[in-house]
Amino acid sequence: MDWEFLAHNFRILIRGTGNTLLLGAATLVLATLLALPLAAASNTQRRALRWPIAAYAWAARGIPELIILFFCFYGLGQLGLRLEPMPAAILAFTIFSTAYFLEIFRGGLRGVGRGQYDGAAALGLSYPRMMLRIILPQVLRIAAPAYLTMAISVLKLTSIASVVAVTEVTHTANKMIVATQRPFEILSMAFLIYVVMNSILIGLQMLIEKRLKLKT
Amino acid sequence: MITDVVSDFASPGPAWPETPPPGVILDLRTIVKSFGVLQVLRGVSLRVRKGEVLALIGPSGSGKTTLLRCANHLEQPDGGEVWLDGELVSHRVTRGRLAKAREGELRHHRAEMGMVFQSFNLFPHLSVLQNIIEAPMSVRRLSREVAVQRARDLLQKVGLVDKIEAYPLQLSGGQQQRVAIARALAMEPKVMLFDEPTSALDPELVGEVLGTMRMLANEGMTMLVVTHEMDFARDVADRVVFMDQGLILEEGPFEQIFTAPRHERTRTFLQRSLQSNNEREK
Repeated sequence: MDWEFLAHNFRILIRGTGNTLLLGAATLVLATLLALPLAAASNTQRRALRWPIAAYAWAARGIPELIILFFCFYGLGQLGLRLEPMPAAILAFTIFSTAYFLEIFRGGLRGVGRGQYDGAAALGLSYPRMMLRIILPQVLRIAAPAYLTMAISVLKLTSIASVVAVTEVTHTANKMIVATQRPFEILSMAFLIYVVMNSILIGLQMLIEKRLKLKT
Repeated sequence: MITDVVSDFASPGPAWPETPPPGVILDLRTIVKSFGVLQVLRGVSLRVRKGEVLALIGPSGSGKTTLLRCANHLEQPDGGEVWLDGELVSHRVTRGRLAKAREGELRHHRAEMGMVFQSFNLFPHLSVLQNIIEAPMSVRRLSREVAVQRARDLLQKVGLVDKIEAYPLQLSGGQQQRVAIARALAMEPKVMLFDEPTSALDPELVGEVLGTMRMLANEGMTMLVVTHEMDFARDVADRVVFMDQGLILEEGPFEQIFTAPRHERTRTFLQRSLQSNNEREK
């Protein structure tokens, strides 16, 4: 085991995690903030709201993430909007992640029984109060497992940003493989880095599921 | 054959509605409601006096639940008026004419009518205490101390003060329903609406809920109860109202309805429900 080699290159590889986490976190925050109101909107009676949202979700879920990424980086570039790799990646990731989370939140919303709305209304709770205190907490609890699973997928998916020159872990690893000609060691370290990052999310998921079990 | 029986209390309608006489807490006038092509309420009028306990009975689909939900506007009636304690709550007056009331005002009045549901509808992610203090704090703007004290007193009353920190799903059905009653009472409503409060309970648990309701009645609470429990209708209700296919067919004390019903349908319904009551008790 050439520890000096590993140690030296690990330090280089770890610099990529900054961008991985940046892309992942930015995507999760933006996509969640967008998906929640969209999910609420797609639950209303008004067709003018439901249909555009449904169309968007259909398209975003049907197109490969890599194609959306290429479109945001190269496609928009040809149309005149030249984005740097990271902003293009954040845009692309937000586009498809929002659609995924939208479906997850809609499922959560559907999981809250009609009786909850009746109970809150009968007590005279205002609509904002009802949504904030009664409905949304339940939606999040129901959606939590699917949400966290998707969050883990999104984090892993950041590796595709390497193809548009976002210097995250995968991109850095590729460059190092070319430079050192030792893919096995480099990739093993990359595995480790990804697993550790995801373990945090998986640990979070287990913690949340444990806390929710206490209430029954 | 159903003949169109319009309750004695229906007003033939001067251009401007008359306020109900004093002492009438809830006045429902010719309530009409359809769901799509199905007309569920075909002009129902009902008056509940202060302190009265009314049992609303009838076969499924007769509109009893819909009538209750129109009273507190969980459903919007297609026609008719709802008066609460002398005030017209289903409509507002704009430019000298009547228009449907807006959600804000409806909500305000809904808070004065407590409702207890067949499926309890407690908030599962909140504790019993939090369930009860939520509305008094956010709607009536009570301080936390006052709300908590009120919750304690009410739980004491329904016999569940030791469950104050428990979560709804840790309780039995009967306990959940009693908490639901306490939650509704926390808003100090003028009238309590019960929508088949014991229908979803195991038979052994029905008694504790009916006992609580009986206690409320004895304390003078105005109650409108949709129920299949004939014992309750007979022992606790001041008046029984029989509905069928969207209309009120009979109204009066239980004995009168039971021994001298005016309609064949009433007779058949009572026979059938007392039969199934006896079968359940075996």
